[in-house]
Formats: sequence, structure tokens, C-alpha cells
Amino acid sequence: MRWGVTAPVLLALGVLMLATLPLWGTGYVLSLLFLTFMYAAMASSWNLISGYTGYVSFGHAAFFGIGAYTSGILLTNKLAHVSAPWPVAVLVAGVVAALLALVLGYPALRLRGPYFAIAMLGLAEAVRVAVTLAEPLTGGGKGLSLPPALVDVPAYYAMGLLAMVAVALTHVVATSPVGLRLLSIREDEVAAEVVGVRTTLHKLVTFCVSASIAGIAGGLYAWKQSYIDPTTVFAAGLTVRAITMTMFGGQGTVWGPVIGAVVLTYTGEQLWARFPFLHTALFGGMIILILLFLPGGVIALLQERGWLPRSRRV
Amino acid sequence: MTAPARPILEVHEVTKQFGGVIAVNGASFDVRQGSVTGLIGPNGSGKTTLFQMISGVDRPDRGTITFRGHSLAGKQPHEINRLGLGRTFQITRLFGQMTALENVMVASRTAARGDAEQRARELLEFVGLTALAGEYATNLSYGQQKLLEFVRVLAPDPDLILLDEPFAGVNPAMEERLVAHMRDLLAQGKTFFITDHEIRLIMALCERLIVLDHGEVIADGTPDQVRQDEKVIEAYFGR
Repeated sequence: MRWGVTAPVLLALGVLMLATLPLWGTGYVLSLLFLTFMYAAMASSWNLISGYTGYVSFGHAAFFGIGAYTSGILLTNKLAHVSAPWPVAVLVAGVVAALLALVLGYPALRLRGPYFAIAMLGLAEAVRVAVTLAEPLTGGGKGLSLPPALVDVPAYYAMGLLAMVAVALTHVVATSPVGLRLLSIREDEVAAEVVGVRTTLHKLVTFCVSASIAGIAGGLYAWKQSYIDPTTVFAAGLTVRAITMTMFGGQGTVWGPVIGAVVLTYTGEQLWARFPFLHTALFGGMIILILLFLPGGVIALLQERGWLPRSRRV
Repeated sequence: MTAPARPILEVHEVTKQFGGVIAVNGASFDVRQGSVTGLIGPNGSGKTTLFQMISGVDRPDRGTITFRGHSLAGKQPHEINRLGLGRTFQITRLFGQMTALENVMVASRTAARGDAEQRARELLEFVGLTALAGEYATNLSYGQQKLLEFVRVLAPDPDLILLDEPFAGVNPAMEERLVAHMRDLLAQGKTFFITDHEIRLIMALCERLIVLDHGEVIADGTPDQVRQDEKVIEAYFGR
């Protein structure tokens, strides 16, 4: 069977299985998949700005964290007498994250290579400190308790939908002239400008879209967990995982971040369960091996071997 | 007798300094519409710096550059490209991990992907690279990369094309193809401004030559006039 027929059939079966999972899956499986969806959304979001334009962001957790706090504040009655409905809270979380990206990105995206990466790391830390200091609103270092809600199933669907939207958006970008322009920025920004690509506009818009996905993911996380604190939602580890997952699957590809999220979330869980004292070191070792032996990611490997078509749709 | 074509590009008293080095010093000249004008000079004479300033990659410290009556002061390279000015680089700057087809498509102005692809395929066919359309640019030979960069410039249909050493590292057969393509485009009304060290080719191709030395224009005239110019002979061969 050809890929053009096989891929949509496999995709439809996968979506059907995941859509019916709450009917037959255990609570543990549901939680694990919620995490997988969250990382798929985060990795796809990171991939949009870093995989396509080459602007490696080490501060992506800032958008997840600001999304979590925006949603958390709106879901409690900290700003108004009534709490916002959750869909409104998480959508506003996405908007606030995009606005933060606009403010941070305007100066930071003028920097290139390691300067941008380090600037983002510093800016993310600054956002975390600012959130911690805004204690009356955010609860400071003690964290923020949200109204308890048993929302495992709706949160599962919502995060799954977000992951699907992130992948669909990446597909649209990858197969449009916009995707080519983003890739040209990654390959050689000066040459891209000279051939007519409006590099600043493309980078900034992509950064905002990417941040909004991370912000919504943070918002959904806060809603499901009912408790957030700065150390958890601004953790540099969130960014590192998004980067690793994308690199494992393939940067600048549609499905690479999803492959990375599925494989590494499951592997991380297994390592944690079997080697409770060593899992972080083992996970770190795995990242080094990936970088050494799979520099282009799984998708590039499969394409080199002719098992996948060499197409931007993959 | 026909009236001389009007200038498409005017460079007036342009100066550019990098630290203590004056790369271009008060250069003034123009490029006439529909012509092939050459910019020659020894290594380090400021040719590429001028190209960088004309295309908006670098900004002049002093002086003005005008393209089709529009001042290029403060304009970004993409804005200058959209005015109808395209350029290649001394060392090719292709998008290595993008296919030959994608390299041309990305420079196209058409909004629809299908139209951009069709235009890119036509251009690749024009220079005989159709068979390599799906190959990553990094995998092409140097000569093929030169041709690819040449057609990438053509994708947005520019009026003025700046070619920075188009013949450097290119074999004679490829050279001939490039010259033939340039002549075709010239017949379509395009204007070329070229710099290269292949003096034989430049003399044969260009109607007018501008000679730079130490950042200053030392001669401006027909190839015959330039060939006999004392200052040019001195700049190239020494006293």
C-alpha cells in the first residue's frame, strides 16, 4: 500500500483509539497520555520557532508557566468575584503567552545563535522571579491552589485537541510558502532577507503563535492539576524535554516532535518506575546518545533509508 | 542616434568605513537601464562592500544610493528586493537543506504555492537544472550552485540584477551557459551590474566598466577606454 493511502488510514485509526480511550483505559494510562499530549504540544510549539527558523529557545517554559498562572488566576476568584469558565481561562492564557512573546521576542529575536538562546534562558528566569514576587496574585513561592476539580477526562480531550491543533498548524506551515520562508531563515538569514523574505515579521509572528500553544498547554495543566508553583511550571526541564523530543523525532518536521513526545514520555516513565534513583542520569545519557547517533532525528533516518517519503508533509 | 538609457541605479558620494579601514571612499556612478555594467578592481578594492550597501545588507556611512528614483536609505534588504533589485553573493549563499526547487520558490513573489512552484520549475528548466529540482542545494556541484543562485535571483522578476563574481570557480562550459542566459535576459530588458575577476569575460560582456581601487572610483567608461587608462593599468600591474 502506498504512503498516501496508508498514512491517513493509520492516522484515523490512531485518533479513533485515542478518542475512545477514556471508555476502556485506566486512570494511569489517561494521565500518561495527558502528559504525552502536553509534551507533543510543547515540542511542536518549540519546533515551530526553533526547528523551522533555527532560533533555539532555551526559555520556552516561560510561556508554559505564564499560561499556567494566567489560567490559574482566572480560574480562582483573584481578579474578579467569580472565576472564569475553563475554556476562557485557557484561551486567555494563550493570548497572554503570545503577548509576552511579542514583548520578549521584539528585542531578543534580533540576537542570533547562542546569544538568543541565552537571552531566552535569562528572560524566562526573569519571568519566573516576577511571578514569584507577585505574591498577592500568584501565591509567590508557596504556589497557587485552584478550585479542586475532577477533570481528568475533559482535560485529556482538551490537551489531545491542543496537540492535534499544534500538529495541524505545523502541517499547514510546513506545506505553505510560509514554511519555506521560515526554513530559509534557519538556513541563512541574510540570504533570506536579500531574496525578499520579511525575516523579522516571520520570526515574530511564529514566536507568538508558538508561545500561545505553550501558554494554552500551561493553562490546561493548571486546570487539571489544581495546584501550580513557579518551580514546577517554569522548570527549565520542561524546555529541555521539548528540545530533546523535537531533536529525537526531527527538527523542522511535522511529526518529529510527536514521535519524540510519545517515545520519550513513555521511556522516561519506564526509567522512573524501574530506576527511581538513577532515572534522571539515564535520561540524560539517552539525550547524549540521541545527539551523537541521531543528529537529524528519527524522521531523517527513516527518510535516508527510504522508509519514509522525503517530503515536508512528514 | 538614440538617447542614452536613463539610470536605474545612482550611487552618489558613498563612503563606508570598517574600523580604521575605508572600504569605499566617496564612490559615485550610475548604472543605465537595460545595460550590462561591470565593476572591477583588485582584491579589497571595495566591490563587494558596494554590493552589500546597494542590496541593504550594510549601510553607507555617507552618501546616497537611489534605485529607480527611490532612495534606499534605511531600507531593509527585503524591501530593496521588492523594489526590483536582486543580487547573488561572491560565495554562493543557498539554503543548503532545502531542495533546488524550494530555493527558487522561496524567492518567488506569487502568493499561491502552486504558482510559485510552476515559476520555479520554469526557471530551473531555463538553466537546465530540472533533473536536480528535488535535490538538496548542498548536494549540488559548485557550478550548479552558481546557476541555482542565478535563477533564485530571477524568481521575483527583478529589473536590476547584481552578480557578485558569477564566474568564480565555474568551468568554461558553465560559464558559456551563464553568459548565454544573461544575454537572453538582457534581450528581455533586464539590467546587470557585475563584478568579477574574469577580465576577459567582463570586457566582452559589459558595455561600460567602473573601476575601483582602494574604495575610490578611478575610471568609468567603455572597456576600450578603461583598458587604456593609466590609473587602471597602475592599479592592476603597479608602476
